[in-house]
Amino acid sequence: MSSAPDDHSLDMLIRKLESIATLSDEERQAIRSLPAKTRVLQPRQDIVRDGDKPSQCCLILDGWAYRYKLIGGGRRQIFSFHVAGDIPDLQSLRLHTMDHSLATLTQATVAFLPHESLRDLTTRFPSLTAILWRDTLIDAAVFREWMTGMGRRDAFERIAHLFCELYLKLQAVGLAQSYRCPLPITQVDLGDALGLSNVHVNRVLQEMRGRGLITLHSGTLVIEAWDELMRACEFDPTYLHLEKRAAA
Amino acid sequence: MPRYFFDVHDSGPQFDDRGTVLAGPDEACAKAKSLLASIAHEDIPKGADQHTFMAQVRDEDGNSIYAATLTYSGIRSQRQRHP
Repeated sequence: MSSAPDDHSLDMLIRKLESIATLSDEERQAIRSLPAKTRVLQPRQDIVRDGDKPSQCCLILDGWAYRYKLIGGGRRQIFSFHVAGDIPDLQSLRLHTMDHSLATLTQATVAFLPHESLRDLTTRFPSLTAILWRDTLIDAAVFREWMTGMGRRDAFERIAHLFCELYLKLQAVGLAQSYRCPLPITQVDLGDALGLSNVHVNRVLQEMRGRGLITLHSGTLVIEAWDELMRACEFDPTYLHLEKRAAA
Repeated sequence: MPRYFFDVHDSGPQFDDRGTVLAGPDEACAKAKSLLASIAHEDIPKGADQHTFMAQVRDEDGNSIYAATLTYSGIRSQRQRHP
């Protein structure tokens, strides 16, 4: 644990926000001076749970996290996957009771940012408030896309669409390039995120491999045929609203 | 935990080379049911009026532990109304 205005752990947040907006030097400095308590969490560890009333937000510095909800019979719905730079529970700043849970997927380093400091930051910098709002709106846009997938796309299209989305999100914060990215998501997780069984996910992944679209090996996804994968699931990246959309 | 392989026959054989790790044969049977239902859900609307789906579950030694068949048969009536 460290209180660290100077260890640049908050640069991850700056990098993320700069993938969707432009920051001034003053804004960057204000973010860097947020008090942050850094912790290393084990895989599959809850960060905040459904019903909690947290007093801090969680910024991911390294590793992956996911938001989920449990319903009867041990059924789980995963809503989103998160990587470095994301604040998956930003909503707790304004909605005081958690209506779902947030957990680590892999071992993760996170920085806890006190609500009080975030509120102070947003009061002093309305432009940062606007950027965080933009981030929340993009979050909602991603949910709309997942809803469209679960309601209307078939299993192949759902998985292909998620792969395209994750690749572009990772690429935007410098965690992926050359159509290659880390993918520490199990088939059970993919199924719970996309409304499919793990066996069905497995079958579709083999079809994707068979068609030469992807390879998936020891936690690394390689998209072998980006254009074809995009076409197969009608992927249109507009909803990610990325400011800097690099070529590959 | 054991690994199970789910071969599917849907307008041609599709062999599962990778398999899925599951708790045991009960879970494997349950997964076969849900897989067959999901495949039928996606493929019946796209396919012909006669369609048979088969799933076979193999264990790590290659022994078949479950086999299921789902038949779709749609028949158009002789009498059709003309507008």
